[in-house]
Amino acid sequence: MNLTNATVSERIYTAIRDDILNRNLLAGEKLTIKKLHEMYGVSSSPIREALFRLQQDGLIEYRSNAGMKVMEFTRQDMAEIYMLLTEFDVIALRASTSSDKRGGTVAALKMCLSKSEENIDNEEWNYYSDSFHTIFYEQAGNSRLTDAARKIRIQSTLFSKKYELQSENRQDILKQHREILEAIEEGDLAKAEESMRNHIAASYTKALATLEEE
Amino acid sequence: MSTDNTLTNEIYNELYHAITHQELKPGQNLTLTMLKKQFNVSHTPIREALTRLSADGLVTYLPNKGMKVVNFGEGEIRELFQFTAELEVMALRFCTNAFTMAPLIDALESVIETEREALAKGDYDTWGAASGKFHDLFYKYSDNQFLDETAEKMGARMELMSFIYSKEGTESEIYQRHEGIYQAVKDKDYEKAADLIRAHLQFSMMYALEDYKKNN
Repeated sequence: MNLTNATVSERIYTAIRDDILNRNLLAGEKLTIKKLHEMYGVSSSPIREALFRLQQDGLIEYRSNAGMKVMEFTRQDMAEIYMLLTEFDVIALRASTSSDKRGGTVAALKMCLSKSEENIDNEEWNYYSDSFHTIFYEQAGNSRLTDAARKIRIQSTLFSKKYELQSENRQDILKQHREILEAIEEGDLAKAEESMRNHIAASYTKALATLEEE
Repeated sequence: MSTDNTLTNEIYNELYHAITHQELKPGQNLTLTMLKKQFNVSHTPIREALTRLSADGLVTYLPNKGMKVVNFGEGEIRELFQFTAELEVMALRFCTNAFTMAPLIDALESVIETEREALAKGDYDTWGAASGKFHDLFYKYSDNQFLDETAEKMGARMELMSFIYSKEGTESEIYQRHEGIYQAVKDKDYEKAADLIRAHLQFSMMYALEDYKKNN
């Protein structure tokens, strides 16, 4: 099969990103072109493109004395990420629950929750639990908002993938998602916002715990 | 880690435990000869361990008298508790700067539950560890390294104090006070939480002073 450069670059980006998110590549681990060539077997040009994108995602960082490394997060980083994540998600919530948009948002969220419940014990869970949040952005339809939140959302995925491995945490998250949906359905947007804030505060608490485990 | 370091650590840990559990008495002499005999090592690791204990404030060195286990007078006990109370109130205040109190509240809840369960079982060792951790949490979530450093410096001396004031069945009372502080923080009544922290340490100080009077 002949693969164009664009496809190879996309594949390698996804492969490295998944390895980082699944912690097959660890925080602080060095990423040289040579090493990645050995790991993934592709030439340097698509690797460079992939690394650039991952840097934009906030998953890897470049240090002048050390080269490219998988991002290491400090407690300060986490406070910054989750504070912003809270505010972005609230903006998206507001922008997707105006009276004309609310119906569509509720429908999408309901479907997402039902799929989440179905998949609470398998790998598909992560996709649906993440979807719950991205639905607000999609429904808000503000591309600049989506762009602005993108890096923060990806960085937080690094943590959620870890703590969502525990089924107890999945139960918590499902419950909190339901609470948010219920408030929106009732038309109580102040309550929906509060529930969203509490939910992300709880996620922040779980994320901090994963930092300590390392 | 060199063998020396491990030895020093072992000696340090043993002496630390002995002092904070009053197995070595306040004011007791600690001579190199005695310690060399007890641990069967050269004087280097012993000196290193004593240096650390001195930095902890658990041993004092007097030029003509050598090393002794620290012996707090009444005034010092009062100052220690007063200072720690204010430090902890400061830590709480710093905690409230965070964008959310959720992590601190979650951690406090977990420790309180451990205390409650341990008390119910009569497991005072577990309770003791949890009750110490309760206070540490405010420093942990204050996210100020200098406050941390200062609290760390006071840690050993406060551990000795806490051993003293949690003797004689005060465990349940202490647990109640912790619960009160946790509730106030949860209710976002930080003024009340600060007052309760001060009151809690005042009461603990009273027990420490009583113990001092009994032994002096």
